[in-house]
Amino acid sequence: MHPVGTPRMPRPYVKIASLLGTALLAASMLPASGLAADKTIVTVAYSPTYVFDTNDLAAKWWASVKDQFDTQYPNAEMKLVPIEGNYDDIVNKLSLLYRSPATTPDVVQIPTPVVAQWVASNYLLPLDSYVANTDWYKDFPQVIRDEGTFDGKVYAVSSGENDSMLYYNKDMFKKAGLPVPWNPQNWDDILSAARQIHAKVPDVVPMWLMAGTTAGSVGIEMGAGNLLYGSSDPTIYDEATQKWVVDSVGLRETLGFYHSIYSEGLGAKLSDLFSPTPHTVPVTDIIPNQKVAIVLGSNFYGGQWGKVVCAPCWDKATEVEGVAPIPHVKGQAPNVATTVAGWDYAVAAVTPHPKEAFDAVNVLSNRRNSIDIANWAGFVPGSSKFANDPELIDFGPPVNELASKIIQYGRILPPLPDFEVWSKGLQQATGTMAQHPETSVDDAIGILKDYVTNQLGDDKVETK
Amino acid sequence: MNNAVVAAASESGKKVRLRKRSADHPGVDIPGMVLLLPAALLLLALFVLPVGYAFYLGFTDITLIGPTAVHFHFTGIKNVLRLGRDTLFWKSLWLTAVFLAGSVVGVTVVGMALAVLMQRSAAWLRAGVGAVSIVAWMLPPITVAVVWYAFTTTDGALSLVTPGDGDSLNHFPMLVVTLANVWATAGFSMLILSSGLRAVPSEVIEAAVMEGAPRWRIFTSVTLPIMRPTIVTNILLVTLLSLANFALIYIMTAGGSDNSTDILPVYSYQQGFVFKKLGYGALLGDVVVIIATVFAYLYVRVARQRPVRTRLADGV
Amino acid sequence: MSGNGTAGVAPKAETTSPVQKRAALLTNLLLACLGLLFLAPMLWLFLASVDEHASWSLSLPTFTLDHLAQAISGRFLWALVNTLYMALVATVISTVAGTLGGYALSRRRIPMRDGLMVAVLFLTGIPIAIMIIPVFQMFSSLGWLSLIPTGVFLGVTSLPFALWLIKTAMDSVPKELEEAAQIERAGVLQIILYVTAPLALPGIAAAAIFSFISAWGAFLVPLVLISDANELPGPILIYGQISASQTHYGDIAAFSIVYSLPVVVLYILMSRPFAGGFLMSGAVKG
Repeated sequence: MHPVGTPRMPRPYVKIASLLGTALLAASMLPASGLAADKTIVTVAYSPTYVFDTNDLAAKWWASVKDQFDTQYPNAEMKLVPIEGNYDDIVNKLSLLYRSPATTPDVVQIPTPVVAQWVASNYLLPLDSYVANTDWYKDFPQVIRDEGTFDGKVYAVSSGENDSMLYYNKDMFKKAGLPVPWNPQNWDDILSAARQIHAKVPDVVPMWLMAGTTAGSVGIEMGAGNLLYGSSDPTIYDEATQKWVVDSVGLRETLGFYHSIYSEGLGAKLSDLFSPTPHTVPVTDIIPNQKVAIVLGSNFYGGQWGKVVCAPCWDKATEVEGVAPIPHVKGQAPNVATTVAGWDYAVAAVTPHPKEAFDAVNVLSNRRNSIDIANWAGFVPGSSKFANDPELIDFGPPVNELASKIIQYGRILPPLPDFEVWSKGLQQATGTMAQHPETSVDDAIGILKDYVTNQLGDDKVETK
Repeated sequence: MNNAVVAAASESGKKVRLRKRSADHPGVDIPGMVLLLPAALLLLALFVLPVGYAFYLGFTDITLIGPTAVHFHFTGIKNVLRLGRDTLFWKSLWLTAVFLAGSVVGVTVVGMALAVLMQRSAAWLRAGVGAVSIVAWMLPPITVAVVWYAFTTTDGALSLVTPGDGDSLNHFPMLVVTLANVWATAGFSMLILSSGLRAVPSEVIEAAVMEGAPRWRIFTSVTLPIMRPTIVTNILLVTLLSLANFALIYIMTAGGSDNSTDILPVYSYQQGFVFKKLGYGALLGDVVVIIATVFAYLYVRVARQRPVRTRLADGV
Repeated sequence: MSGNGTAGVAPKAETTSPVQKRAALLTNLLLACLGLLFLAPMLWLFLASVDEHASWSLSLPTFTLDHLAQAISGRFLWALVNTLYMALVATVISTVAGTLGGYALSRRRIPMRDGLMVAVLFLTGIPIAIMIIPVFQMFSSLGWLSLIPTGVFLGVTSLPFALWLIKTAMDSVPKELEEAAQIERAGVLQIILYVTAPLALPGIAAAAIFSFISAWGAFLVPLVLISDANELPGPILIYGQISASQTHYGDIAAFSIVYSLPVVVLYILMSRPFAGGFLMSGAVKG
């Protein structure tokens, strides 16, 4: 028993309690970063490591943009908000930030496939009145404008687009007795070229074709999606029935192509296909190191081998590497197949200063910045004027020239939230085909069907 | 669920207390309560409350983005019904069991081997190997993931001794992540088992030796039974540790190409952050909590079996 | 680590016969093999960190100190500082609240004390990942999406275990010393500070170390809660580097080493009280 008797006045405890309380309160009042007393702060969220070819170029471009903006609008200041991680991490982080107005950035560079979901969440400001006053929006082709337009309103404007094509190594082709330049007219042409390489040029991978799930959301955009869009039936989501297609002629043709490549040993090794960043394997490794003959790849490779980006430097790029559009499965006109997806600028619906926010978008979209980001991130600019600008074409010949030419044939992927599920299902199918080459097309279709049905329910899938 | 019960219990406990004041106790122990206050407040506000809220979210249609991102609704057992139908959930449950069992067996065997060998080895070797295994345990999960990714990928160190293309990571993903987890946890197990080993009374061992029993028999028939509580504790703790090891598997395989490493925490993250279905992801997380609670309960049962003083006296 | 008892295995005889010499050799050999198995995966880390042409593959390095120099400069250094800051906040929160609370649970009359202890132990088993969304909502509406509140949260996630460790340690401190201090009219805080805590130091130190290691290695929590690029801790930076368009493997390896060093040093410094407070204990690494 306490010898002192009555409970002491708990002053030490009050002290502790108030200390702790003060500490927590102080912590909560710590400002996130610098204050600019009078200027309007425009926060801009972007990716410092994923969008550009190198981190240094990203830093350089964004620093320059901020400089331009701060100078042009002395009453405003741009605050850069970098979002770390890959495509999926960026989308996740942005989803979290947009949940509360306090953390929502005024301006964002966001992947085009998710704009629809942002619009559905009422996160974005309609920009119609603003773009009407610009001199660059009118040069955006309809297909690109549509990416950011919903319910007749413009919610996002393109900062640049990606499309896909076939890369081929001219030296290996000559060695195998294949024609250079190469103009495959249908998928059989591609397969027979790969087979001939396999026979005549040992120790190289005949064809790189993305498979598996590690690429995340871009895996379909840079891989199977292109083939599907060149098949006899490119439907992924049936608007009429509101169901996802899990079995169709188009899907079977696509998976049939995968089956040919992987069961005949014409594909790349598993550790490359399943690496954490498979979309960079061709451009940073197997093409410049001449380990692969044919690549179904993205247009962003084009500028990377030049002296400016140098990731890596490959001075023989223009003489060794040729490009050709991906053909239709049976050679039907226009015989160019490609997905199109890119990154858009958008303004938050809750922004307290919409005018300044769009001023930022204006600066971002001027000629200098559009061409630089196109060159340094491997985009085709949204504006067709810039897309055919010599500065762009000369930066990564012949890739950039072809990329700009074929963008008009591009088809977007379904901008629906459940596309992630369908995409993962197809990636699992292709991944299994790469890992277990004996997998039949029926089995692969089964994987896609089971996965999507399991996740979305019987009533959301169909066979065409 | 448990935390709601706990919260209710402590609430009612306090109420009971006040009523019995004059009967049993001379007064409320203010100093005691104030000392406990910081911990209690922090835990309630930042631990119990979020867990409770997470539980609730499992029964809503909240999504990461989209119309139901901010304005979501309670959907009753809809998500639970989906859980029952979801073949991937059952596969994930199975994979979790495999991962846990493999980790527990691996960690315990290696930890015990280390503990036993270290008892009778040269002092320098004991210090060196002990240090290495503990360092492996202390490495942050991302370092473990990076190191084991490099170790098991084509041209990694492991490929030097494996046939074929040496790509262990993609051919045997579950085996590789389990091995990585064993590697990163064995040192911890070694510490626990060493303490338990040291606590076995030498008289009992000496008596067995005197009776001419072979060393191996002594180990299995005398030492192990005496160490049983320690071993069981070790198993339970390793289970909890492994269940919480999201970062390792996520960074190394992101679920594997055919969901082959989709243990529940990873599958829950996928549903919530890749497919944006936060509500369903939260429900999957609730299942993880239930599993963890079961093991934590078992741990408590075992931990309370021996008096505290004896345990500590043995160790120090 | 420094156990010298041979309880549990048959004691050595006075003179070593050939049989026992062979047994000792076998023991040492087996242990050495196990040790090498633990070292093997770490090999890449050391080689790649000094290799100019580092990749995921294991290869003989083209020696360069560039990666290591990079690893302690610029963004990487900043990340280290951030991680340290965050981990220290977590450790202070967890240890202080844990010591005060542990003392209360050990020595004071707390209603439903046993039930509370059981509840606390349950909490140690809960994976942090499921709390992420509610905590994000909470912190985001309070404007707490930064380093210090994240540190506080991490400290709270280590708190249940700290409470349990410290209470257990204090339970074994003899009450007589405290009673003597009470007779000398010492206040409760003084008793804790000068009598109980020093004697329960192994447990408190163990709790502090666990909190520190747990916060140091935290991945998912900072990934979600921290948005400001200047506040990114180590694991997030490494993760960002792995998925970058241009992966600098050598930098990743070098920084991984630099980033892991502090916890290793901590172990070396604290291995005495650490091992002591360890019996029947465990940790929940996030």
